[in-house]
Amino acid sequence: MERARARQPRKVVAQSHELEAHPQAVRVTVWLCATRPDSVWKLSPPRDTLGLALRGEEGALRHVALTVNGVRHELELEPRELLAYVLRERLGLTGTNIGCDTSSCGACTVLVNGESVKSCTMLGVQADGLEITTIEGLARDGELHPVQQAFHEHHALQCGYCTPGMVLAAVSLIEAGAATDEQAIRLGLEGNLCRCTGYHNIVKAVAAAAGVS
Amino acid sequence: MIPAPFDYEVAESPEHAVGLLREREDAKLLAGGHSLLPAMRLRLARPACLIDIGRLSDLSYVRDVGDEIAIGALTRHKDVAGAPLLQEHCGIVAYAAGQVGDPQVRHRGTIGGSLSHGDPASDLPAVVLALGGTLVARGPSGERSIAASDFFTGVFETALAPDEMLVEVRVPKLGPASGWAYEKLSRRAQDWATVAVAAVVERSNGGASKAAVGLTNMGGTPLRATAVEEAIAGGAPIAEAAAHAAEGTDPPSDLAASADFRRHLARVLTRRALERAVAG
Ligand SMILES: Cc1cc2nc3c(=O)[nH]c(=O)nc-3n(C[C@H](O)[C@H](O)[C@H](O)COP(=O)(O)OP(=O)(O)OC[C@H]3O[C@@H](n4cnc5c(N)ncnc54)[C@H](O)[C@@H]3O)c2cc1C
Ligand code: FES
Ligand code: FES
Repeated sequence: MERARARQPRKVVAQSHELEAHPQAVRVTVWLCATRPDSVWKLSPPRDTLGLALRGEEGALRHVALTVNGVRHELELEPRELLAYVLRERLGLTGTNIGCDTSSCGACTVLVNGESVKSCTMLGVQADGLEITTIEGLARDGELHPVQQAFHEHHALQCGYCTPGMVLAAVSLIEAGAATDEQAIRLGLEGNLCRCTGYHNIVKAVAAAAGVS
Repeated sequence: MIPAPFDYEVAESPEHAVGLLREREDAKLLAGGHSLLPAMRLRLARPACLIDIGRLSDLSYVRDVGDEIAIGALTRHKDVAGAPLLQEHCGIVAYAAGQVGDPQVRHRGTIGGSLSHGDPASDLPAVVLALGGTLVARGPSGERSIAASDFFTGVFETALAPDEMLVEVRVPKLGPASGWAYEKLSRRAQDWATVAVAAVVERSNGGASKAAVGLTNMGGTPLRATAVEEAIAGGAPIAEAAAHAAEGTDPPSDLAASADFRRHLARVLTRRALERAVAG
């Protein structure tokens, strides 16, 4: 406890030699993962050189209580389990899609206490005690949520992969009162990528749901 | 991609967090996680222990403390952007926080994390540097204040000791003769700045009599464009002063831009930022 530590500048991110050799490595790698996944393996050293196998044991399990779509769940989670995986693998809520897995695409967006969050960038243990809404939790009594209905009416999806995240990001934007005009909607959805629609119909749908033209 | 295993502790107070930092080997603080978790998933960072300070809601505030506005380290970008006190007295901080990433990032990321992370491409460091802000760190023997000009020491490096935690950021209230602008250029939605420029000026006779200019992503740390500031203080017109913006910088070349293009951007964005700051 009383072990003294020299007062020296702190390396905030990584002890990794890579970062020193390549200062922008984190952002660049994130970018590569999103755009050219095949190249990432060349950037990241094989697992064993990073000491993963050496560390061996898993982090201790933690007891976590999550309320997901109004239902309380008590789970024993490893701290490193990301919320996206908890929702998909532990709770079977596979409506939350994982697109990039690098915080860029927004496909994994859920609502945490009513606000949009990329669930691939939050630990399950960080969500302890919080309220999560996934796409499965939006419809009520067989009635689509107004944003879902607007996506349907405006043909705001093609393959549908981005749709759950896009809908939840839009719900959060509208609830925050920030979907005030077309430009605000476009900016407000900048965290969500769609590879199919070209965005126009998504923006129209969100505008319709928000009651703006 | 799943991070390497780590232990997880929830800090109940700043003192508890600092105690854990001393006690636990290879531990890191976890605030919003929006810089740390992406790095951990890529195994670029693999701390043995995360100390979650994200629940220290007492450190989420924006307060009037006389000549300054004090911002708690755990205040999220979204709350900084929307804080009426900042909008009224130091609008550049609120505006720049609203330029960070996208709404999802702003719902989780914190001002303390942004500054402590020491990323020269982050928006708030250059803004706090241009404002001559102060960072308050808590360590085992209490609190100390660090001037922004001493805080950023290298790429992902800061003046924080391994057992210190940033608890507060202080920025000055800007007077009625002040103007400000933050000009950020990035090539893709939600991206970090290729280059950005923070300008805070004293306006006089339709021009600037004094300017403080902070540069984002023009070197290993956020930088002050001192040559520009001196030119303005010496009475040079904005266009002439802005031409000095790349002096003394060492911008990176990467996928987004070459170093040369960044130097060009620094000059152009500095001119725009100064013009906008003077305009009001
Ligand atoms: C898709 C995406 C886009 C982004 N775009 C931008 C952008 O355009 N501009 C920009 O500026 N940022 C951007 N960011 C980064 C974002 O602003 C982060 O929120 C911020 O850099 C870190 O804050 P955090 O609270 O998430 O910190 P964390 O990730 O939790 O921590 C970051 C580092 O700081 C340390 N730390 C955190 N808090 C403290 C403290 N109080 N005291 C001491 N050390 C501490 C941690 O130990 C860690 O090493 C983006 C992030 C993502 C995922
Ligand atoms: S999966 Fe792409 S942001 Fe989470
Ligand atoms: S509908 Fe296919 S990605 Fe958006």
